[in-house]
Amino acid sequence: MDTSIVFSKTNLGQQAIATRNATLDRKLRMVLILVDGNSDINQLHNKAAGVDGLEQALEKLAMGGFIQADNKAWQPMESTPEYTHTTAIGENVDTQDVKAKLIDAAILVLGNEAGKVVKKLQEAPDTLEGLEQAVKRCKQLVDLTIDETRSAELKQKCLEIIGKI
Amino acid sequence: MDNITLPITVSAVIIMLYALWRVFALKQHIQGGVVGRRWKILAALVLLFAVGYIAMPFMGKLPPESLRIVVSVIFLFGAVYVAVTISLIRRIIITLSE
Repeated sequence: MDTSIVFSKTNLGQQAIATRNATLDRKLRMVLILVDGNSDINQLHNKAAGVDGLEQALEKLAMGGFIQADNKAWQPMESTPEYTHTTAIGENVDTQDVKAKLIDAAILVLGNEAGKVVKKLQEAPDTLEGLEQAVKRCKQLVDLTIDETRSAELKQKCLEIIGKI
Repeated sequence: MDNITLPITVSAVIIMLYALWRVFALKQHIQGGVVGRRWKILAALVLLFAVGYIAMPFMGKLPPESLRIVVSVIFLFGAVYVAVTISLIRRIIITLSE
């Protein structure tokens, strides 16, 4: 995950804090409370000293629609999300939703360098095959021009979202 | 002889300056990765060649022995440039065919 990302709570996140939403476990709830819209991930690490798996928790909260990255391309979750996303995708999969999650995953991994990848994903056809091809091209782009380690991370996350892992 | 070498040298300098501009302009779009790592080497070599080409008209004043050393160094870095470029193309092909 790109450590320069600044997260802020979404309406859903604020509701979850206010109503003590039972779907969030203690750790996720604690991390959600720490998200303030100003601190980047390094600063959150300092605030959450002693909390293991902070970045994974942030990722779960982000993919669940409880927090959002400070990035214009971020795709807010419109449907009521589950913070534990399913990996197996059935026939009724909403490809728009999958595409939105892929874009968010790209922002989480690449931060401010996600621009070209986000554009490729936005332009991809709204089919699982089309999105899979777009992920492959994005992986190549990141491999060549950004960072090979992060390209592997991006591919892993995207394939989990598409349901290929 | 100077009538021929001067326009050739000036053309070479102009083309190398254009290459220098392009290599640094492209560098802003390549933060890292397979291309980014090698791009830094290529940019340094292009900078070296540009300096060498600009200095070329003044090298006639050097003693022949020093001139031979300068030429051999330029040959060496020219070979490095070609090797890095071929390696870069190879890695791009590998990445695109994955």
